[in-house]
Amino acid sequence: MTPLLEASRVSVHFPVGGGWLSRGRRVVRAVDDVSLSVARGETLALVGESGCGKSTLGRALLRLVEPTSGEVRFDGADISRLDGAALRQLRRRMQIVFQDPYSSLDPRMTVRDIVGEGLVIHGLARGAALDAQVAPLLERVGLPRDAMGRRPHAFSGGQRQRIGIARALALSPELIVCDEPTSALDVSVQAQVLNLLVELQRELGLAYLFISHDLKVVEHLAHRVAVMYLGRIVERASAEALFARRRHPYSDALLSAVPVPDPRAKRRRLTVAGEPPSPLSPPSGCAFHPRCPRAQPGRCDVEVPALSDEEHAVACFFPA
Amino acid sequence: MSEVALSLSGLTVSFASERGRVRAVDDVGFDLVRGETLGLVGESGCGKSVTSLSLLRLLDPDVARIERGEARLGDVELLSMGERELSRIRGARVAMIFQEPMTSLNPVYTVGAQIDEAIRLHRRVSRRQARARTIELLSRVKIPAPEARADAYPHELSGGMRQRVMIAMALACDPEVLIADEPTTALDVTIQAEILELLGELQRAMGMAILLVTHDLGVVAEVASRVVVMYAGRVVERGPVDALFAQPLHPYTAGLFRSIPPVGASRDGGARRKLPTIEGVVPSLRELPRGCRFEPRCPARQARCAAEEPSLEARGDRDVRCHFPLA
Ligand SMILES: Nc1ncnc2c1ncn2[C@@H]1O[C@H](COP(=O)(O)OP(=O)(O)OP(=O)(O)O)[C@@H](O)[C@H]1O
Ligand code: SF4
Ligand SMILES: [Mg+2]
Repeated sequence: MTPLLEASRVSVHFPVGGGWLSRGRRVVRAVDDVSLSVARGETLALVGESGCGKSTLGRALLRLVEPTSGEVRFDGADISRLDGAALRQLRRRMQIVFQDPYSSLDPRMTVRDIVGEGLVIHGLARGAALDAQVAPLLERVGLPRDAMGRRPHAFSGGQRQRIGIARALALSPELIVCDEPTSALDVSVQAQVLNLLVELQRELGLAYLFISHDLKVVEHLAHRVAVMYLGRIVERASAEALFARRRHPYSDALLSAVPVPDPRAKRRRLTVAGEPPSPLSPPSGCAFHPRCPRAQPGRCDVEVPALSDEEHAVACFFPA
Repeated sequence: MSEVALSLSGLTVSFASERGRVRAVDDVGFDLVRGETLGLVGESGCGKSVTSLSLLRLLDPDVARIERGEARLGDVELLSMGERELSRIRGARVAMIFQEPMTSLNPVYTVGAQIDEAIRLHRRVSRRQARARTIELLSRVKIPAPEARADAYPHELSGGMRQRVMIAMALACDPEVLIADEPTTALDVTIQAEILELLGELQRAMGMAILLVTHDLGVVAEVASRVVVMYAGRVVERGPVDALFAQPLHPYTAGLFRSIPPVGASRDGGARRKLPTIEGVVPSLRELPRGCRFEPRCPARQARCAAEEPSLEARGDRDVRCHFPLA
């Protein structure tokens, strides 16, 4: 079966700095040669720390930013070749929910208009028919009926995120890119929103590309996980396999850094030295080598390790 | 013997709002012990920051008013002392770091100049002596090449480095108490791990008491020895970390723990379990329930809970504000 979404060798490079006087345009390789796929009804989590390129990748897959190179296929069709009506049609099938429930909703619009906007744009409903479509969506995400005529400021963070989810659901998409949808929420509210996402997936067969830096959330939600570091995928596996055994030293460090809410837990902390390098001046060879406890000079600082072709794929010369 | 560095009691703080004053913090108290970290936890808006800012009277006096309370630092009381006296304590005996170091650093001065100034504010030393101390502090917080970094501007440093600079500045005068309000919340987990470790090391070396304000129970479990849980402006539970995490007594604390996705245990044969949640949302300070503030959301509530607010009662080495504690 063809995957619902398939990205091959996608790169997104942004030109930076210098101005028009400087020679030799510099670029940030925000996303560098990334391949991944998402099956129908599946959750692929994209994890990594700030600036690793996960949000840019998510946006490139929806063509909210243009990939510099590579190919993205949705249900078999190359989305970079679509335009006009075909692209709009495609946009119905893939939606996005953003991190910040405060800035991602227009404060001047009512909940009816926010959730129903897509339906109106696509000419699918208006007036009373719109209300009839919006009401069950609000109910489905657990918002009160009278939410319809109110504006975003009247809602809590968790409720706003539900509005964002209702908006994404309005056009019956097959894929939703969730970009840190719960990281601005308190844990008790986060749990409510995560449960909602899981239920919706079961009921509607949705696929999620779930972008997050929170490994606890990812473990709970994802079927498969891809770990990114400085624009590249360094490890990719089923959630079971990855949480049972990290093959890439960075994934291992990332997981061991998560504070565990159990004072008796024996900490096996693997601290990595220093900070992530700037994507403006990525290290030679493996981008992780300056911080890596396993790095071997002469190899890791010279060659870029490719993502292996295994079920539990890893981009490391000395994987576990 | 545990020696109390700072003792807060009865803190009550109100804010002006369009419809009269609201109490954001109501009768909050705790002891900060020398050499120990106390975690102050709770969800957004429960009053953690208002509490910590009150200790140094850093709230905007136009809207905020400390109605009541005492904060004893050795022989002095912080909440009633004169502003002049307090300014000699702020930054010297009690120092503070925040979530976003960028907002507390001045963008137009080098970080070295700002630490020099923090030192010279409280100590009579020459510029040269101050700079020597600045370099020492920067290396103490493990900033590589401290001489060179002292000449950097805040925006030239990463978030983690800026937080180290803030810590260096806070430690400039060997404070007895360090208040850290979400010091690692804006940082990536690998950087957070390093900063927490650094704070622990500095505490062991310098013996200061730390008040760590955080919403992350994982962070508390790792670094604090005692914890205060707040809900809607009230302390609902208080006690040693080990016991409190092993068996929370307040239904709210228990609900918070359960709603964290468990590590390594969320699957039953590949299927995702539903996470236990706390139903509903935190009440608005304007419409607080008459009885227990947690009553509308509490799975253990009984008739009495809506009628009468429980007081904070001792239970062994813990305190809990609930008519029907869980154990
Ligand atoms: N300057 C202010 N004016 C009016 N109300 C305020 C002000 N500062 C805080 N409050 C209110 O006081 C209450 C407690 O806020 P506080 O900032 O202490 O919460 P917190 O526990 O630190 O939350 P967070 O986890 O989001 O930092 C909130 O209801 C808040 O809206
Ligand atoms: S007093 Fe009652 S409502 Fe409040 S926490 Fe205890 S059981 Fe729940
Ligand atoms: Mg706060």
